[in-house]
Amino acid sequence: MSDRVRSALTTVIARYTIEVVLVTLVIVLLLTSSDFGSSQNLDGVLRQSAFVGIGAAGMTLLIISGAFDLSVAPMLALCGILAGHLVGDVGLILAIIAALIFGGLLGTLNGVIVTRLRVPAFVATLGMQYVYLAVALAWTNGAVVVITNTSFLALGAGDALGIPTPFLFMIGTYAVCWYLLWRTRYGRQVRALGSNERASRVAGIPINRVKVATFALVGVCVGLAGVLLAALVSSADSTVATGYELNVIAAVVVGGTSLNGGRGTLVGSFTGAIFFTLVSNALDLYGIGSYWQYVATGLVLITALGVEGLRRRFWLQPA
Amino acid sequence: MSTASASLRRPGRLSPRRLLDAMQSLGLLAVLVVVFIGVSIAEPRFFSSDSIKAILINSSMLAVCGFGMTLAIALRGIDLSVGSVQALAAVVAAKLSSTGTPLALAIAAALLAGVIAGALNGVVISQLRVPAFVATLGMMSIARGVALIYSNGGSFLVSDSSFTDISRDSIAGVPLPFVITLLALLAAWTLFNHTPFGRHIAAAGGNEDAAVASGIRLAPLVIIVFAIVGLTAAMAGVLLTAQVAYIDGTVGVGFELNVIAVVVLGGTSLAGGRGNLLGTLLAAILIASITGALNILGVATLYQYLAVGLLLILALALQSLRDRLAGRSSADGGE
Amino acid sequence: MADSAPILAAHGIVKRFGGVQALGGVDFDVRAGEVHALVGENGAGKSTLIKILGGLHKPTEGEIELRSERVSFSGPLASQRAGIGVVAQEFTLVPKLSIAENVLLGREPRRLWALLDWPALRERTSALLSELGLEADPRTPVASLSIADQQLVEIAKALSLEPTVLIMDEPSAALNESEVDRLFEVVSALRDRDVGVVYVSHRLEEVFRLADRITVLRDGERVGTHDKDSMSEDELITEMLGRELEQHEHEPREAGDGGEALLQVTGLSLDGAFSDVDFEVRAGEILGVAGLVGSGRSELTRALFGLLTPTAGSAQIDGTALAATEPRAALAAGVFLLSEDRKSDGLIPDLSVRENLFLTASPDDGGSSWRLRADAETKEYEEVREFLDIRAHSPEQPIPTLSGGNQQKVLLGRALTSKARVLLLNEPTRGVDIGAKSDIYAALRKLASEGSAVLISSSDALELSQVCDRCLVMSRGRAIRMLGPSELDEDTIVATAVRARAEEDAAS
Repeated sequence: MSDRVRSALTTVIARYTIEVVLVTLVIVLLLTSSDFGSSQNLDGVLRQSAFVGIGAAGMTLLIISGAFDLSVAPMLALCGILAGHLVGDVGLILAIIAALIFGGLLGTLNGVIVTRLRVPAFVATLGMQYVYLAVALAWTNGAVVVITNTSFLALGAGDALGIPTPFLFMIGTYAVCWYLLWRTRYGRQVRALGSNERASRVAGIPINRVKVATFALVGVCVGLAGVLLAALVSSADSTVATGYELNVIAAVVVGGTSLNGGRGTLVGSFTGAIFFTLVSNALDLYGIGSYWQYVATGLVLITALGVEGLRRRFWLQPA
Repeated sequence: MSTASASLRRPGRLSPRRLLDAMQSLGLLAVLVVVFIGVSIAEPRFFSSDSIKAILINSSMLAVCGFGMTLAIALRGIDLSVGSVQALAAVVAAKLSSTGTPLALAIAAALLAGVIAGALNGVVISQLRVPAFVATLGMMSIARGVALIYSNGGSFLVSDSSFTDISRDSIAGVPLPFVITLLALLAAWTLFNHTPFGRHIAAAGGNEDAAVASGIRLAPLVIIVFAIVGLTAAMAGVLLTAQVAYIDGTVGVGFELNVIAVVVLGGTSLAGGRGNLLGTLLAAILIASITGALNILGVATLYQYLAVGLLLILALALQSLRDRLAGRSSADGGE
Repeated sequence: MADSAPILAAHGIVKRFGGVQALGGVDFDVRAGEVHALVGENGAGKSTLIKILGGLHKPTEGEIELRSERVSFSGPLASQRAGIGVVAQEFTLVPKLSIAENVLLGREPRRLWALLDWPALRERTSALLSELGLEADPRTPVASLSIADQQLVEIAKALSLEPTVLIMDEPSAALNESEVDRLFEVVSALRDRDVGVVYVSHRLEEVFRLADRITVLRDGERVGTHDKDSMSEDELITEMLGRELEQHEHEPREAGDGGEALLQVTGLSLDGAFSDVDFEVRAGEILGVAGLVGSGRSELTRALFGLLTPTAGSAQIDGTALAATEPRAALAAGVFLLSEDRKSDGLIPDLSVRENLFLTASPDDGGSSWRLRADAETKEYEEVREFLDIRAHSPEQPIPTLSGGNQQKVLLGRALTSKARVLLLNEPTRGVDIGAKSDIYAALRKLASEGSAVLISSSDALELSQVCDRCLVMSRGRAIRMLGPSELDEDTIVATAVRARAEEDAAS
């Protein structure tokens, strides 16, 4: 292999690490597992990855802006519950819109606590996680909301244009978020904020507005994910997505976005979400028990970032 | 011609930092007293010695693990794996004890498991340069898996009374778990404030570049601190086993967020560089008191969540306010 | 008296980073008991050279000798142990720790092997502090000290290693007049103790005051080493630049000349910072604001920009009241602030040059459009680049890759893109090399002549005397005197400021 090819390859791998890993994994699976390539299996993977994926889109922008939201699990549950309750009365479209608005409001509340009460985002959303969970428990009384509306269920279980509907929503969400991040003033302000908040203020950026807007965006994304998840499992309850926040953050981080803020990639988060689903799928196909899957998922996460860390340490390529 | 400006600041024994910590602890104490008085009026049983003992016992797990977490956060890190490590240690202790292993050995094995898990966290963070959040997130998953594998998905009942006595015994009227907690506090406090090692933790958390430039080697520091966190998580696991005696691989889910909440409530800043160990203890007692109070008043568990969440936000909002009034920038508390 | 055998000598130092050569065969040495200044434009290689001497980099070629013995440093700690202390530009202090913990960080005295010996720690620190004339309780957290005092702590830290050579990189950059005097006393005391001091600085007046020898670097080469008395400042500058500095002969405007008052400040007060300040800046005028530490000039500009809230008084732009409560409002009113610390308050490191430039305002719209338009930005970028002579390969470059002077120009460019009419500049040429400095002065004069009102708050009296039309001197929060065009020379400015302070000190 000539030097130029090698250096070009190294650059590609360095800048698109997770994408390369994903493609490699897909190839390996196609070659080694007879069940992987079946349309049913692929359908399942794409469908599954949408829930974490959609949440990861909003979370990417939030992390780039320098914050976290740890309360997304009960937020997801609440929006699913709301949609589940409403769909019988107001129809599909309004139920979805209501859930999105509700998610946005919850996110806005988080943002207001962070900006007005000046509570650090980590702690504020940690606290709100408890609060939203309490609200969800109180609302449902611990019971499960059963959903029977067929058009609603089609959102989660159906296909459109040959692609699982949730995945279609995921693509749409990422397209919108990508445009926001890279083609609008808001997006530039988000990146500036995460990179240097003080300087952003001196430069005249409306810091509080940007922060609240980004929290609201996370809320809307999570609301959508909540609706789709409720549609898929045809029910909604308060603990449906325990651990969701960590899955979402894992997808964002594996995708290459820095936890320090200022830099990030939506394509990476998209890939990261699919990647984790794929890993679970692979472990299932290979017959590895669910306990070992825990171990494997953890190892994958650490390895993904460990390799990145080693690479930066020893090869000094731009990240 | 020497400047007069610096000589205006003569902090005496109570430096500004200590003062802030003291105020935080005082505030927690005040809330604690209010809760106690308030609830005891409504329900006198709350103030009984049994009830208080139960509170102290329940606070012990949170507090002990909280001390470790305080050190990790002072280092500007975080450990999300403590819930899973607690489960791992509990499973190890329970399985060994219920199959005949002597108490001391079972406990030693459990603690060792925690230390190893913690040390591995430290290695991943310092050698592979993985952010602590992510590294311990991964370990959270791994340790949980190991716990489930080692327990084979089953559960254990500890029948060795010398084990469960750990939770039931008292020394001079104080429940043994709480005595252990106080000893742990003493050890952690001495380590953090009176050894160069502890000061290096604060230095590395406050300004990593400065610490490195002064010759402090980060890798051993990180590994040992996270090993300590793992140890305290394992201690919490042993205490849990002694308390409930019925252990399976699913215990401790969500424990890490409770511990982090307790440390933050106690006044330790997530920005690193400082640690309020006494505050952690008081916060743990406060949370245990609230939980106990709500139980005894017959209030649904969801209100506990509400209470903890609101308390957390309120406490930090007040802290922010106080920082701003004192002229300090509160922008340092966080990401 | 300097001993003529050097303690530290570097011969033929070459340093290459990848394909770029930073140093091309430099000789440098320091003798015991001398102050050897190192000067040169940005990019000349000063920083690289002292990093090599401090053990942070290894030379690609060449050797270093310590007391005539060849040495090779494996890292900064090795160089420290060899007796070379470094006081860098960026402070290596841990803000939340106390002075004592910082000074002996990593070398704390111990009791019973594992425990910290607090009394010994405090004692040793107090001894070091008093040598430097800093009276402070060693338990004070470093964050509560002034920048000047923090720097003394840095020096104490370096001195605690008992170095034979002390390298100081731009030590006076963040200090004002009286603090600089104190620094000089410290350096002289070191010289008397036979420590060899390497003093890197942009401020040539200081270099001439302090140094025994001066070495000039240019483009990675050593252009010359001179004894202090053998060269004039102009000759030195010529050697640094390799060309004659264009003399910007500036005709200060006569009082009464020029346009309307664009910025009017009446009775402005901020408790604890300044009180009852009156002045005005006319369109087309450059007003300087001078003053020693605590004069309140920095707070004054920040209050006008909305970063601080005044407690009394008012300000007006072109007759309309200016009551900005945050920077956005000030920018909307046409006011622009250039902060004195561009690293923390100015640059957005993860964004490109272009994105930094247009952060405040997008082209042609006064900041209302939500979409980004690349072609409009590129076009306006070119205009700004030319106006300020920004040296950058491409607008997409990450801004940290630019030199300090060019970064400052980009930040100044924000004033252009936001169409500000009142420019408030704090220390506009701090950490900026001579070439960029004169570019910035030229740009400011052009802006003034186009009708803007410019206010420069600076601790560099020479700069103020060269660039401004009038100069307000402040002391302890009060506006003491307005110096007119005929009184605008460096000595008068300094004298007024110092005298005012002395009178206040005497009165209190």
